[in-house]
Amino acid sequence: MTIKLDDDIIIKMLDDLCSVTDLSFSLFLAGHNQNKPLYSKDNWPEYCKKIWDELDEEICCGLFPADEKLHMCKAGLWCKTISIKLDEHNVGYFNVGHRQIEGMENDSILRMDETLRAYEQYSFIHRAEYKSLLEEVPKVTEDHFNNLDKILLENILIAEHERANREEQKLIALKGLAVNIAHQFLLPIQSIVANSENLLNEIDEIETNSNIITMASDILDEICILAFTAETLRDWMNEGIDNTKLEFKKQSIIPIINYAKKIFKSGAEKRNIIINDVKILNQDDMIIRISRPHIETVIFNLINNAVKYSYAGSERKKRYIDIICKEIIGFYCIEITNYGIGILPEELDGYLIFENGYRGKLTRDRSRIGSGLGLGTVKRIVEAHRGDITIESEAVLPEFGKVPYKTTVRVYLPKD
Amino acid sequence: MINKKILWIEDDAHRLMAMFRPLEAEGYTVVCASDEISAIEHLKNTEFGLIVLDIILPTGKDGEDDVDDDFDPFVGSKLAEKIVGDMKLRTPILGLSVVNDEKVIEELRKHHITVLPKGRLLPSALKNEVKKILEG
Repeated sequence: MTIKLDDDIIIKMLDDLCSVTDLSFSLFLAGHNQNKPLYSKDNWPEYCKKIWDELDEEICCGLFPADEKLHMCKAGLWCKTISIKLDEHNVGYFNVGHRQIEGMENDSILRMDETLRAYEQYSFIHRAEYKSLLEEVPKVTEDHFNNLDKILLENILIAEHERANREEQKLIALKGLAVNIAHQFLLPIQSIVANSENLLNEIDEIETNSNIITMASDILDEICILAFTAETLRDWMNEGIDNTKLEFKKQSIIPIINYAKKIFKSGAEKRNIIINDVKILNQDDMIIRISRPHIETVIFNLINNAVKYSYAGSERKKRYIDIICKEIIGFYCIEITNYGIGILPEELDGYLIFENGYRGKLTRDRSRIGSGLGLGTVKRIVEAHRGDITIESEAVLPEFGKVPYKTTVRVYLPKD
Repeated sequence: MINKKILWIEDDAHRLMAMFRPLEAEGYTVVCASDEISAIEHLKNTEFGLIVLDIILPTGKDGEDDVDDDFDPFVGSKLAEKIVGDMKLRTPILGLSVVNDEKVIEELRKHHITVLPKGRLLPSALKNEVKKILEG
């Protein structure tokens, strides 16, 4: 049995417990690495943090029997381990304390010295620093530990577990609803897609007015974009993409790119954004093993983003989107570059931009609607193909007037 | 001689007939079955060149007593197993569905059934896929 908890709530709870009891708390959960506290070192003394970070994690805690008795750790501090049960199952334990006990300070120093001797060969270990930090660790009496209420601790966790469980059930129901709605959208969309293409093909034979043909073509493009948006929503709700379950077939990725480009071309041109013809630098058809519907989702998302986040051009000065395909040591690379709203370095460095639901800081103006669902899905699909995705985004020279960012997304898909 | 008769098992066929318009223009005929029972009836009585199958389908059973307690929404998937296993038909089957549940799709793949995604599938793409299966 695994306990369900919300990290932020539990960390806050541990910090509050620390304030109330004058003891430091850490929480270890069953089913995870027993020697790593899942929750918060924040309320630990600096001494403990330093030992955890510089020396061996096992020195600190995690090795005591859950007998609710006081034990001195190898670092010389006192802790008590309190197990937590949920429906008669052990689900983890609190490690409480990380304190010196009044009158036993010398024992703590002796234990610290004993432990540090094992690390004498490391020049970066300085006893004086450790001793000084140890002396800063608050001192308590044994009564502090005796006042701990095991039932209260357990009940707090159980209440949080039940809350997290209810939230999870709500989320599952919500996801099911969203998938159902996406499915309900896709049926009428498919009907319109089919009628639109038939209309376009058949009108082309009888109608000479190019405006009418353009209108039919626009309807088809827009409805395809709508279908792709509904599919993205559904795929996002379905979350995990298991690459062992995808149906991989050898095929060229060029028609997929050209098709996506065709669908977005007309809408882009209305904003004076030109999607240039796809440049294929390698000499072959880029035939690789892919799951076609998934790679379509990738390419659609990326070209859609490139159009959506390009600054509009003008009759005099157009904006351009470049799509380049090339081969790079065992991979085919699809590179899409646009000029417009960029992505900040901190969003790229921390992979924030790939988190589901995250929308780039610079994109949050009213004129650009986005769901934040796209890049996370794209990354999962590309990784399911054993590929990779990189993004560069930097402001170009100010002489362009309103400074656009040049954003280049590269998707690498393995040739074999 | 290619058998240009297609059985389309789809309960929303009346809304999606446009999907087959280009194929019909090339002499294909499409017979629709809106549930599992009527699909099996058609298959018993007629030889089709291709079966196009939705995954979420009604069974066609009437009355509450006939509905299984452990209702499986993927009736089309079970129907495919019946067609290939129990009925031992060798008619090629093509999936056409909004379902993208990987487990379901993998089960169908075991019977060499590819599922085309319903949503933005162009009639021209469906035509190409059908012709590839039937005309090679």
